Amino acid sequence: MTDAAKPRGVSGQARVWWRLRQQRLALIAAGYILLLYVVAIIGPWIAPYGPMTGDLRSTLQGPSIAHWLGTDHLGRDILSQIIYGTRLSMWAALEAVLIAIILGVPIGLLAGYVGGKLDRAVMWAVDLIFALPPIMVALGIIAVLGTTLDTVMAAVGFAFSTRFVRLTRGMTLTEREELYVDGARVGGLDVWTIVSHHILPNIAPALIAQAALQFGGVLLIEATLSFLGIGASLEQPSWGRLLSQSRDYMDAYPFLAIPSGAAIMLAVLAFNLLGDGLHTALGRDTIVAKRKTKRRKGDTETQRHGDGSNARSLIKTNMTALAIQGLQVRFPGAQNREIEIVCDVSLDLKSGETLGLVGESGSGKSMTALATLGLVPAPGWISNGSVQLGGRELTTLPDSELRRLRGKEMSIVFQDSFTSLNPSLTIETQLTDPLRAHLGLNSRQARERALELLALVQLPDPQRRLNEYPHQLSGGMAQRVGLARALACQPSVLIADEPTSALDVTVQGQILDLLKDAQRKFGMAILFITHDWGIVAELCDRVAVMYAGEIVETGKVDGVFAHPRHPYTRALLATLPGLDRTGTRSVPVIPGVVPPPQDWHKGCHFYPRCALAIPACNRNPVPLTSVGDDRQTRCVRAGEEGLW
Amino acid sequence: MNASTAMWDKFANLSYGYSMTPPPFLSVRDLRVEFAARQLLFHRSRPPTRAVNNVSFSIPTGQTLGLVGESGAGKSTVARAILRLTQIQGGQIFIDGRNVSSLSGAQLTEYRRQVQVVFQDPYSSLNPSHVIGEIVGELITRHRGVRPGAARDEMVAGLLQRVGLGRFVMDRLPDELSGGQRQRVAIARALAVEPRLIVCDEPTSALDVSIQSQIINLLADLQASAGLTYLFITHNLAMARHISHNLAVMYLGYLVESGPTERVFAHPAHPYTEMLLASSPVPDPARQRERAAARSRISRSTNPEIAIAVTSCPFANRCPLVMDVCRKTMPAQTEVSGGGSVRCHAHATGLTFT
Ligand SMILES: Nc1ncnc2c1ncn2[C@@H]1O[C@H](COP(=O)(O)OP(=O)(O)OP(=O)(O)O)[C@@H](O)[C@H]1O
Ligand code: SF4
Ligand code: SF4
Ligand SMILES: [Mg+2]
Repeated sequence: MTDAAKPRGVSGQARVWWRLRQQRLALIAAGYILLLYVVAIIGPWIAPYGPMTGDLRSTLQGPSIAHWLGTDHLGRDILSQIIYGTRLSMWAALEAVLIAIILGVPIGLLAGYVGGKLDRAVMWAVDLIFALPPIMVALGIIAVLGTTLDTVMAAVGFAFSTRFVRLTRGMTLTEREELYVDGARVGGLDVWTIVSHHILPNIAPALIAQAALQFGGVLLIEATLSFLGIGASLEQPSWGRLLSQSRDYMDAYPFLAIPSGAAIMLAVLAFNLLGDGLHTALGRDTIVAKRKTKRRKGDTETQRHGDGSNARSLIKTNMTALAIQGLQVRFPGAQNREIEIVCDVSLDLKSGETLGLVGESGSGKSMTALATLGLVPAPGWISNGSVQLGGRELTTLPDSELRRLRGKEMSIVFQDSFTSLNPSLTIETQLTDPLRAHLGLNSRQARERALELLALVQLPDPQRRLNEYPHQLSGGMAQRVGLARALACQPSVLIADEPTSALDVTVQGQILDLLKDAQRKFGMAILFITHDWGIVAELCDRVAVMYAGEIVETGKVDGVFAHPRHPYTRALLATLPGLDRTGTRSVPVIPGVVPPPQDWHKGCHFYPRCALAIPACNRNPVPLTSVGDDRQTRCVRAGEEGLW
Repeated sequence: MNASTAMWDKFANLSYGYSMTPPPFLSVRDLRVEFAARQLLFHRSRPPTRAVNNVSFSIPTGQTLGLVGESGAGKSTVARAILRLTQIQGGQIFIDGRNVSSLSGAQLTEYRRQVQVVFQDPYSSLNPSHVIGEIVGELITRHRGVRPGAARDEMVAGLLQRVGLGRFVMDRLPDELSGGQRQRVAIARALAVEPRLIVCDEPTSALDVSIQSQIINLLADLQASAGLTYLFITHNLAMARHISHNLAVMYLGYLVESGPTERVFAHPAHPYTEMLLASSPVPDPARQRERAAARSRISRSTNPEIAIAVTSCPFANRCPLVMDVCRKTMPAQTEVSGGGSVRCHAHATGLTFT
């Protein structure tokens, strides 16, 4: 996961809780389902009457004090029947879903992991069964096995197991491509250990959500079957059975259908709501993050291409294209505290200028970029500061306007294109869909344009690649496809978040040339996020160095390289291995790691790792101060003679 | 600074002169890997992608071979073939003189004890739902039969200590660690089976600059203390130069040049190697701008869009030195003075483009 999508130090549990709390409806649904199961268990003790005790003197009565929901044609208490019915319906649903899971999940896991003939055979069978409505399959089995409730629910479970096979197999196929599975194989683990111990826990949340959804479906089928007189016997009041009885008195006493009908409807609704809620809340972090990245990417997708000159009139060379002032981004942390992960960042970006933003991961580079675009991932928010694009304040713009702007004026290339490509769509679809949607190209034009774009990013053999899927590309190729998508838009401000860090150097050089050409032509401003100081040296006019949420030094590139004025910049430049530094083979290191945001010091954030630290550094927040020609640094010792 | 210098000295002690090269631990002969093109229904079948073509190299015991080349060159495929994660269509892989390309069952498990891997992406290479103690301990159980418990925990803690992690990480999930820490965990996991060869597929490229040097120092230290052999895949030439005894350069499935690291850097024999060297950015603005201008002249003069024949030199459409013969016949592997070999027709004539 990129450091953008997940601020370090915000714990996984906190995030799941936060997401769960967002799912109010799902929580209510879960409460209701819990209540149903409690009723199912303690039913016999709370029901005011027995399920079969009728009083023929008071048949088909409306609700009263004695009978809250009235009575049926034999004078039996409807509330009591519903309560007993809960027991039966809930048990039946549980039975069927468990059977479906026990049958479906292992088969799906094996088919997805082993693949080949086994997979084909399984999918053939599953498709066959899936083509029929589950109720038909269940009826077929019942015809053979008889109609006791248990066989009926087993039949329903069998019919529903195909859904679990499909889902499990699909997720296993995706998961199988993950490196940790390769790691397990290299570790010599056997197939069953890999699928049950490694893959299953990672797909379990999605399976649980699916199970909740299936409960609703099973409940409906049970009701339908009982309604048809199959399954629950006459003496066993299930909801479906009750509903079926009410049919005969539809004209004389229509109210009879309401309690059982409502019980079924509410339960199905609750299971569906719970399933949806779980799906959103439990979805593994990475999966959620991937989906988010994808959506973000889609937002910034091309709205125009080609000349791009008309929109350009807005930006004139040497005008400030992007101005960020005192930007602050916060996330909710443990114990209701807020964690600040971008602290007081100010940047100016002129048209035609390239500003390098360098720093280690977790220093807040990517989050600064996302905040600029108004894309701080939830639950974070911009807590302070201003972002102006061509003089227009963005932090106060509504989402809809931002989205339009993002398409038109600003675009971003993310560092990891694999996560922004959909594994189940061909490259062609992914490149042409936005071109067609935003530019109104027809499919032939879009394909041509897609080929041009792929040629632009020097993807070998673009014709063939168009028909391939992301997993068939090596890491570098996927990044080029991602880059092609972003460049198509030719924006006035391009934020490039380590776009070349996955590319080999010869192509990196070509991409850098390409960016320089595009910039010369259109005068766009580039905010280039990288940790490669070689690229900064080549491409950037100015550089801003970030450490632990703050900009620690900024200035013209040549000056910063020649005379760094902050201990962090200086140490970082010293760790770089040089191509031509022969003789010593030492790799100096900066001890320690960037601390997580909740551990940042009140004073200088670099204090724990700094070789020049003195007690004064840790007392108060250190301001960014000017030290000469277009240079600023954040260090209490910046003014000391002889140090620099 | 001093500590790390000492580390590199240890490392340097291991580099043998060419006259006393130790016997190869890994050698690969004429390795060929193909991926079937996707067979679409009602389409005529297409020829398979040749991911790796007749690649041969060997790594002396206790040394490091740096494998560089652009993306899609087949570096990872070579690694996956050696790790037996992908089917090979031709050639042999020898470990300690023993052909391992067709092992299966118990023999394959035994092989897995000797060869381990550290992947590039420490975010997806560790199972997100297992705690670190389980991730590292699992292989101890599998290969050394130590059941989970206090004894295994001790072994795990020992491994974690070797890679510079405290035992407190044992009950953390990968999600709760930084990239550098995760990569250390991945290395500890690899060490758990006491392997003799570790395939490192870009182990530092997902890490921060200051963390990269920590990991490189760790790997060098482990090599010195445990006599490990590394196949080290990287994009970063400066890194390759630091860590490798020998260097191999791949281009579009072919091994185009190999040889002792110093020779390859000082006297690159293949035009692609030269281009690689010219393209590596150096952290010095004035020099880098100069280098960039030179690089652009070279790469702009070539057109990668021209299709190349199967029999041609794979670099023909980008090579500034291309000749007629290059488009007709694949250059054979020839010796280079100073050590190693090259596949280039121009090498014999002594042409260069700088
Ligand atoms: N599973 C696969 N199916 C089909 N083709 C594949 C598959 N994996 C790799 N390839 C192809 O094999 C070739 C070599 O890819 P490989 O991943 O080995 O390159 P690499 O040198 O490791 O690149 P990178 O530096 O980007 O990691 C590429 O053309 C790639 O598209
Ligand atoms: S303020 Fe002090 S601790 Fe921070 S960078 Fe300057 S000298 Fe180091
Ligand atoms: S064989 Fe010819 S085309 Fe290939 S690298 Fe050598 S000179 Fe260039
Ligand atoms: Mg690779």
